[in-house]
Amino acid sequence: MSVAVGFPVKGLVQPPREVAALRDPWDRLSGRLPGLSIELEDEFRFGHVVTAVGDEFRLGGSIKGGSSSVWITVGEEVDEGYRAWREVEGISTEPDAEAYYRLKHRLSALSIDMRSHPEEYLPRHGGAYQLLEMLLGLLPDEHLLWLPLEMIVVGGWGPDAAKASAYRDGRIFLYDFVLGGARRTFAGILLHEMGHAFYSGLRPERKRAFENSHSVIACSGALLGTEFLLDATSRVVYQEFLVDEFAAEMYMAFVAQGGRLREFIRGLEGPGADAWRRVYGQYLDAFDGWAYI
Amino acid sequence: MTEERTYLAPTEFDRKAAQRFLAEVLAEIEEEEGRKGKGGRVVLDFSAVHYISSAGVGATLRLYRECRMAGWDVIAVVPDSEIRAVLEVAGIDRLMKIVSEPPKKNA
Repeated sequence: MSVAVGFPVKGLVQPPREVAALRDPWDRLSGRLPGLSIELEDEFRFGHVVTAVGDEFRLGGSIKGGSSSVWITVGEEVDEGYRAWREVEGISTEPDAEAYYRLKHRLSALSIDMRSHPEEYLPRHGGAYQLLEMLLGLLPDEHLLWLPLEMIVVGGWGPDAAKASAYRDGRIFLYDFVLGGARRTFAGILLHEMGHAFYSGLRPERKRAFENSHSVIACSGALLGTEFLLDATSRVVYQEFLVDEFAAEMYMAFVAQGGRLREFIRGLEGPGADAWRRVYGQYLDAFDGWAYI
Repeated sequence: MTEERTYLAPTEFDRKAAQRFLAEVLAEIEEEEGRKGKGGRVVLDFSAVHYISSAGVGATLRLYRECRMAGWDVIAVVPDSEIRAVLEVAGIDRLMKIVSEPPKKNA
C-alpha cells in the first residue's frame, strides 16, 4: 500500500504525458515556428484566432461569429503563425467516430449521457472526443458514479456570452471556444469542470470543512497555480477569492499533477499545511483511495 | 462618503498597455491607501477598449487582487458586449461585478 502526504492510497495512476505536462510551465513554441512571437503565442493560447475578412486578416475572438468589433487588423505573417501554432497545439478536427462511440458506451454504463451540439455526433470534433476519452479514462468508475454528473455537452455556445465552459445542474458544457483552442487548455478545463462537480457533490458537513480549510489556505497564501488559458499567477486569483474555483482547480491538480501537488503540500508548514492535508484527504476519499503520479 | 476612483482602460489593451495601466493604477491605489487608509471603490472603465489581450485580462485580475487586498471594492464598466464576452470567457464576472454603464456616485 502506498502513502500520499500521510494518507494510505489504493494505488497511483500515471497520467499520459500530455496531461502530466500541466505540472510544468507551458513550453514556448515562439522562435521555433514561423511568424509566432511570444505575444501571439499567448493570444492563441488564450483562445484568440486569426480570421480572413476580405483581403485582410484579423486577430481577436474568444467570441462567436466573425463580425466581432474587438478584432484588430494584422498581417499575413500572423495568419501563418496562427496556422503553424494550431497544427502543433490545436485540437484535431479530423473525424473519429470510434472514439465517440467508445466514450459514449463507457459513459452510458455509468449513467452519464454525452451529447454534442447541435447534432448528436459532430465529425469535426474527433480530436475533442479523443481527448475526452483519454481524460475520463483516468478517472475510476467508482469516482464517476459518485460525482453528480449526468451529462457532458460538447459544442455550442454559452447562454449569455461565449463562456469557455461550465458545470451547471449536473451537466458539464464544453463550448466551441474550448474545442477551437489548445489541447492543453481543453485538458485543464475539462478536469476543472469535473472539479466543480466534485465540490457540488460534497455532503454539507464535508463542504463546510472544505470551506474552512480553504479560508486557512487562502489566508496563508499557500496556493498552487497552473498555466492554461491564462498564466499561473492569474489563475491563482480565482482560487484565492472563490472556494469553488479552488476546489475545481485543485481537482485538476490532483489528477494531472498529483506528484507536484503532494510535493507542494509536503513543503508547507503551519496551519496552511494542516488545512492542505485535510483538503487532499477529501479528494482521496472522492477518488475511492486512488491517487495520481 | 465612499471614496471612488475611476480608471480608463487602454483602447488596445495589449501586453505593453497592460503593464502601463497596471503600474499606474497600483501606484495611485498605494498612494491613496497611505493618505486615507483602506476603503472605497475602484471602477475599471472599459468604455474605450476595442481589443483586449490575455495580458489585459491578466492585468485586470491582478488589479482586482491588489485592490481587494488594499480594502477597495472593484467593479468593471464594460459597455461593449464583445469585450464583456472576453472577460466572461476568463471568468472575471465571477470575481467582480460587470456593468454596462458607469454607476451613480456612491450607489
